[in-house]
This record gives sequence, structure tokens and C-alpha cells, in this order.
Amino acid sequence: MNKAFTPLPSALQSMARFILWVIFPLLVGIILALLLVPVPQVGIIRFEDVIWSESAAQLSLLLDRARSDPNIRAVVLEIDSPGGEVTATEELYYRLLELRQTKPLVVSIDWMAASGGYYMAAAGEHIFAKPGSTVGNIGVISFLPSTNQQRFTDEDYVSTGPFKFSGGSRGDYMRQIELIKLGFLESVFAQRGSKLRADRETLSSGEVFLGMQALQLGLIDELGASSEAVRKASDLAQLARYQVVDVNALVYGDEESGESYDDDLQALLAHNDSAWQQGLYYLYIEPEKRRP
Amino acid sequence: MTKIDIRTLFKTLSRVFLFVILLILPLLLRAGYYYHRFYVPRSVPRPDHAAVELPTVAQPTFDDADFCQGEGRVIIDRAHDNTLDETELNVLLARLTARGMDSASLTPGDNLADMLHNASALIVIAPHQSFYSWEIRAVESFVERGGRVLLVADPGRYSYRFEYDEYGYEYMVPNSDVAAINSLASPFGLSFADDYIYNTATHAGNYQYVILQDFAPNQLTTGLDSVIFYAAHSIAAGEQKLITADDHTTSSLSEQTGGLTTMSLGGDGQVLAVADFTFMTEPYNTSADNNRLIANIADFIAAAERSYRLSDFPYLFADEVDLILLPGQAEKSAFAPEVIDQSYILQSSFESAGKTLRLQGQLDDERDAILIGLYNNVEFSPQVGEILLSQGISLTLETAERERATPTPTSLSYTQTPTPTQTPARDWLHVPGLGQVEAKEIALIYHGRKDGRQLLMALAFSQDGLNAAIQRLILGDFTRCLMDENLTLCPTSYEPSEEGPSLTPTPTPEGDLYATPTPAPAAEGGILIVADDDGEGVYEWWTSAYDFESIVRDSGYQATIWSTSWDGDVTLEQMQSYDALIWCTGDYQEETFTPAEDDLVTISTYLEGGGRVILSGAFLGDAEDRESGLLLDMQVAKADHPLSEGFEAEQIITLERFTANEDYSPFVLDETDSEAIVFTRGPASESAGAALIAVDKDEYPGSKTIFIGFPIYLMPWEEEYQLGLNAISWLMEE
Repeated sequence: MNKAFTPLPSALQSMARFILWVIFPLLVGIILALLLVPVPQVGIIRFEDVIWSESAAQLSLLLDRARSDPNIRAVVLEIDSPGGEVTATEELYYRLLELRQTKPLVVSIDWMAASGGYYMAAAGEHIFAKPGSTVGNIGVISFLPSTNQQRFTDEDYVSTGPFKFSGGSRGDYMRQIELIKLGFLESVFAQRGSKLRADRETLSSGEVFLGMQALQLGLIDELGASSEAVRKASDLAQLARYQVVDVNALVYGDEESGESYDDDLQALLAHNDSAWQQGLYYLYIEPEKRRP
Repeated sequence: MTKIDIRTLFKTLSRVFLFVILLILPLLLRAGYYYHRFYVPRSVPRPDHAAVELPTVAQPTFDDADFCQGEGRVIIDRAHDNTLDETELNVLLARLTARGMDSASLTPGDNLADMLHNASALIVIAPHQSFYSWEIRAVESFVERGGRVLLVADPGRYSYRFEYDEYGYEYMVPNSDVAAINSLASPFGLSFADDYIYNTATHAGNYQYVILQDFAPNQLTTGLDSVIFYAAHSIAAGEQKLITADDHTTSSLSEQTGGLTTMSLGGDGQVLAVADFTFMTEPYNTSADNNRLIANIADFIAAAERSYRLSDFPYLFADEVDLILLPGQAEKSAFAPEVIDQSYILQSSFESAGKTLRLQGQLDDERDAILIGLYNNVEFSPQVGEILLSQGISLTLETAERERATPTPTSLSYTQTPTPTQTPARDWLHVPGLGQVEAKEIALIYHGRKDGRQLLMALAFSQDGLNAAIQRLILGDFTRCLMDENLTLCPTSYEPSEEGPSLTPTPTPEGDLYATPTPAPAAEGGILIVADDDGEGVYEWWTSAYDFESIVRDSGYQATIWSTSWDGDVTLEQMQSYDALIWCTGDYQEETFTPAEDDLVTISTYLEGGGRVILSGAFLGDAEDRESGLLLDMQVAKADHPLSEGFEAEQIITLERFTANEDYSPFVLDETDSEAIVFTRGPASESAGAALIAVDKDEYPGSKTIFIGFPIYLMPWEEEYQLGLNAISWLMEE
């Protein structure tokens, strides 16, 4: 019986023990490391559009992807937008704050972050712009409703209150517009309060500033290229090495809309008036595009 | 056994420890490779929107009480493209109605001067058509006689005019109310700035809703603590600033902050300029003390103390007036048919003015009265004699005396009458300052106030002369009359114009009786600029009329623009009421002849009377005879002519204002018979060297003509302006 059992040579035994106690855990560790510590990514999201329900929904998808993707450890939002509809802008602002609660968010302003575009940008932890970028234009535009609702009534088309149809008087509406502007300012001050070197009076003038002026006023943090924004995002996320991923491509593939936001702006402005004129907008319409 | 176990255990534990270390090591190495340390999300501040307060504006209750009653009519201008709706003036009109005022609208086609006869105030809100010079003079005269004017401009009340880009596409350009309202405000020392004011620090819900709290002491600012203007201009000039914005309020145009006026008085306190209209409309009138300010403005309007002159006939009278035929007149002519006719016409005139004229036998101490009669009736009416005496007027009626076979001339006993020395019989009217006037040639109209009632007396030598005087009264036409405060002397020969004076822009001359005994000229003066384009052109609709207007004004002359497409044809009489005529056809072309043959006949007749004319256009002349030629430049041909002053000899001017069409080919002028060809077509143009600007002088006695074979807006502005100044200077030179 004892003869039948031939113990392994000691060298082999040593080899087996080495494999069991060293190589095996090391291999498993490597596999686990690969699985558990993926290459961190800095996700870049591009938003070059007027903010309205459709474009806001598309951006929301990108933000959701960036937030839920564990590999994406920091996000850079590249903005080129003149703003747009009020509630769509506010939706994006809150979504960006939500993202910021999980991972760093750096904003890089390309050509323009005006009005609602800046509202979004203000949600960033750190804001970059180019020296010649168009920044600011804090405020609201809208159209006062006609006084007809306050002058005429119809005995057949009845309502249960004087403002059931109109929603309020012109004076109320005007005050609400002002209130929305104050809300805009509050949102900006909440994120950039101590960094701002401009008072509310200056900011509420609706002026557009160059990037270099915006830096002096504290509307942005730094002048630089989007690559610097990526580096800043990686720093905030404590990344030593990382990959850069295009979140737009991750979500939508390589398809491009092919339309500039000028097309969207014109589409918005051409909403032939009943819709357009009933809206509230954080929107900067450059003078040559402004409707008479 | 125990010793072996411990060793084995230690050995096993070491192996396990190694196992674990080796297991974790790649994780740590990889993590260390990619991360500096763990990322800990920072807290993200959220905006506290619930703490943002809704701006509110005080809306105090207002009771329009304790006001003084006024009287009279307020004219509301709606004839100058005013941007206001029918109902927007309700608040102010309600206040005015409460003060006993009524209102009437001045609509297109109405004559402002006529309507002001029966008014105590004029309200002009956001006009977009400038006032004509005769309208301005009418308002100035109205203000001099106690009328009050409210001028309201508003930057939110703009209109649009169409312009064309370089490709000929139409686009709209906003047009503010400032230029138009300043045409009327400037003569009263007021000027609105073409801006809006704003305050981003303190406002009433919007940066353009400016809270105003700096008031100068005045009836208009009584009881005001704070008013809110909803987008207002600033007033750049004014005699007395009433409301000034605070030091944080800024002008959008000048970017000046502080010291901006929004309400001001001019015209010696008779003209009020207000830089916002919205505050007096509903619902903005209820904010702050806006209602109080509107009431104060209504008080200002109602307090107008209008004095009336003869030209205000019949509005200078109360509602019930007596008509008295002077004794002797009735006796002698026994209600001649002419007298009845004239009485009827007078009554109709009063009726249409909402007044009653009753024939009475004698003066009533309570009622206004009109007395009509002949000079030789005066001696039978002591009251009329007293009136003449009070004016220092005496009559010497030799004819009447001789008819009575009385050798000595009749003179009113209460005057020292100069005795005429001429024979045969002469009838004299002796007027202080004028001396003796031929009574047969002159009708005398007296207008004055006696014992609180209005008295009007019309006297003439003959029934025909009296008829003419009454006709003048009814038509309000005192052309060629000498007028003083109470006395008016008119020639008895009178032919009213076909259109009647109220239909023409001829102002009523109300000069100083003693200034000159010669009849006042009917001419309006200034230069008439006719834009003859019928609203369209071959290339453009521009005619250069507005360029000429600027140049004429800068030359120190009044400029009046007449658009044939809006105002119709120009009559010879209208031309003759101006000192010169500029006829611009732009690139408009009639089918045959440009200007139209009727117009050309009128212009020719005007020239025959010594008229001065600039005829400018691309297609002047007969289309069958003329040839077109590409026009790119022009050249000075006669450097020593006054028209080329400021230009160098043979200077070439490239026409650069081509707009819709670069192939601009106007007619080639054939003006070889002209006195001088001052500019020719330039070397780059077709038919180079052909006349482009030619002049004629004394073709008819005193006449001057300048032919310009293209619309001058094609020239660079600097050269155009220089040429324009030269042309006006040469044209108007005696």
C-alpha cells in the first residue's frame, strides 16, 4: 500500500505549492484588478444646440449615460448654445447638478454659452471658455399677453375665474418674468457666489461678455482649450491616467444631426408666433437674427 | 504535537496571507496606476428659489377729486401716423371729461389750424409723421393765445418703414416717434432723445419700468411721491424739468447715467412734454402715483385760458350770439337781399359750429354780438361810434355829406378829424399809425371784449364791401388783411380761392398792424420739395427728396415735402406760395414724358413767373427722344460756376450708391442750350462728356433752373451735400 503511493518529488511539490499560493492568487488578482479597476474614463459630452424640449431630452440621455457608467469618472460638457426654453434649461441645470453629486463636471464653453447656455454652464464645478467666447446674457425674454383677455369676454365661452383663460394679467405676467430672471440669478449665485466679482445689477443687465471679461467677472474660472478642461476634470476626479470617451458617440453612434443650432433657432423663431410668442426663453438672439 | 501544529498553522497562515496579498496586489497596483486617491464627491449647492421674492408695486387707491373745472375742447392728434389705439387715452379723457372738457380727433385730411380755432388744448401722442411748418406755426400761434399742448412720446411706440438691401430685397426698419414729435417740440424749447431709459438696480418689476421720485415743485407734481414710467425716452432739452430719474437710471443711447429728465415744460409753461405714454394707460395707471400724475396733467390741460382772435371766428363767441344790423343800414336798405343772404350765411356758419346767431334790434348787455353795417350808419349808432373812438378811428365821409347836400364834410364829433383837402369828394378812414385810408377800398372789422362779452363789428363803405368782409369772416380768410389785436382792415376786393383757405396749408397772417401798410404776402415761403415717384421707380422708390430736405434745412430754409403719391398733384398756387421748387422724380418714369405733361405745364408756368426750380431725376424728358446710358461717374465741367464750389476742376466723382441694380442707365441729357453745363457724365460712363447737371438763369425774368439728370442720392454723401448746398445757395441768391 505504501509502496503503491509514490509521493511527488519535492521539486514538484514545491512547484505545486508555488502555483497554488503565488501564481494562482496573482492571476486571480490580475483578473480581479482588470474586472474591478477598469481604465477610468473622462467622458466628453457636446451640446451645440438651442435648448428646447427635444435637444434637452437628447442631452439628458447623455447625462444619464455619463452618470450611470462606472468607467466614466469625470465629465466634460462642451457647450455652444444661445440658450432656449426656460423649463428645458432648468431641467438640464438640475440634471447637471445631479451628475455633479456623483462625479466631477467641468464645462468648456466653445463659441457661446449665453443666457440659458450659461445657465447650464453655471452648473459646472469648473468652467473654461475661450478668450473670445460669448458668455453671459443672463435674463429672460418673452411676450406680454394681449390685453384683449382683460377687455373682452364671451357669454357662451365661459370660465370659472377671470384668469382661467389668460392665466393672469399682463402685470402678473411681467412680474413673473422678473421672478424667473431673479431665479436665474439665484441659480448662478448658488454655484458661483464666492467666485463672482460682479454684482446682481451688472449681471442682470443681460450683457454678453467676452470670455476674458467673463473671467474677470468670475462668470468662468479659466481660459483654455477643451483639452485643458479634460485635464481639469481628471484632476478633480483624482485620475492619474485615463481614457477620453465621446459620450455622444457612445449613445448615438457616429451619427451627426447635420443641422447647426442656427437651424433650430430659426425653427424656434419661426414657430409661427402663437407658440413662440407664448413662451418664456432664456435665449440670446444675436441682433442680426432678431426678429423685427 | 502541539509544536508541530503551531508551526503548520503558522506556515498555513503565511501562505494564506501571501495568497491574499498576491490576490490584492494587482488591484492595488492597478488602482495606484490609474488613481491618485479616491474621489470623494463634494457637496453641490442648490439654488434656493423658494427664497426669491416676487417684486411688487404699490397700487394705492385713487379718488379723482378736488379739481378745478375747465372749459373748451381738446384736440387729439390722430393725423400724424400716431401709434395709439382708440381706447388707450380713456384714462386721461375721463379725467378731462370730469373737468368739463370735451374732445375731438384731428384725423388725416383735417386742418390743424382750423381745428385749433375751437380748442383750448392739443394732445399729440407718438406721431410718426413730422408736422408741416404751417402746422407748427398754427400751434405756436395757438400757444401764444393761451392754448396748451401735451406732447407725449414713447420708445415702445415705433412704426416700421420699408427699405431695400443691395439685392433689392425689402426689409423693415423701425422708426421711432422722436423725429416727428421733435418737429413740434423744438419750437417750444423741448427735445426728446431717441433713447429709452432703464435702471437695473431699482425698478418696478422690469429694468425699463423706472421708479421716479425726484419732482420739481409745480402744480403738475403736486401730491406725487413716486410714479412709474414704463419704458420712457429722456427729454434732452426743456425749459423747466419736472420729473428727473435717479442717479442709477441710464439712457440706452448716450449711456449717460443720472440726471435724465422724463417730464418737462416748454413754451413758457404752456407745452408739457412727457416721455412715456404707457403710464397713463390701463392698467399701468394704477401703479404708484400714476393716477395722481394723470389727474395733474388733466388739470394742466383744463387750466388753459385761451384767448380768441378774429381768425377763430365763429368760435370766439359764446353759444348764443346776437346779430345786429346797424340802424340806418336797415332803414336805408330795408333788409336788402344781400343783407339777408349774408345773415343767413352767418347763421349757418354759427349753426355748423354748434352755436346760435339770432337777429336782434339792439345790443343786449348779456350776450355776445355781431354788428354789421356801412360806414354812413355809424353816426346813427352811438355805441359803434364809441367803439371806433376807443380805437382812435375817425371817419370822413364826403360822399355821404354831399349826397345830403351838406357842404361840410361829416366828422364824428368826438374825434378830431383830419380834413381832406382833395377834391372831388373823398371818403376817409383815419386809423392811428396808418393815417388816412381810402374808405371805399377798405372794410373794417373790430373784435373786442366789452363788459365780459365778445363784440364783433364789420363795417364797409358799400354793401359789396360789407359782403366781402362777411365772407372773409365766414371763411376765416384774412389774406392781404392788416390785423391788430382788435382791428382788422381788409381790402374790399375779395375773391376767395376755390378750395377755400381751410383746405390749403396757407397760414393765416396775423401780423402787426403797424409793421407795414402793404398787404401781407400770401406766400408760405421756404422751399417745396416734390417727391414725384408715384410710389414706385424703375430701380428704386427713392427720389432724393429727403436728402434735399436735409440740405435745404441746413441751408437755413424751411423745407416742405410733397409726395405726389400721397398728396396728389401740386397746383400752381401751391408752388407760388413757396420761394423755390425742387422737383425730384428719382428714377420714376412716366410712360411718355417725365415729369408728366400736366406737371410740366405747371412748372413752366411757375418758371414764367420768375420761379426757381431744381429738376432732378434719371428719366427727365420725352422717353421717345432720349437715349439711356450707363452712368457710373460724373465730372466737373465748369469749375468756376457757383454750383461746383468746393469741387476741383475736372474732378471725377464715382457714383457709389448703386443699390438694386448696378446697370443704372438714366437718360442722357441734351442741354446744349443751357446757360452752363456744370457737371458732365464721367469718363467711365456711357456718353461721357454729355451734360449731367446744367443751369439756366433768366430764361424768364427772374427765373432760375437747375437740371440734374440723376437722383442725387447716388452721389457719395459728402459730395452730394456740397452740391446740394451750392445748388440751394445759387438758386436762392437774388
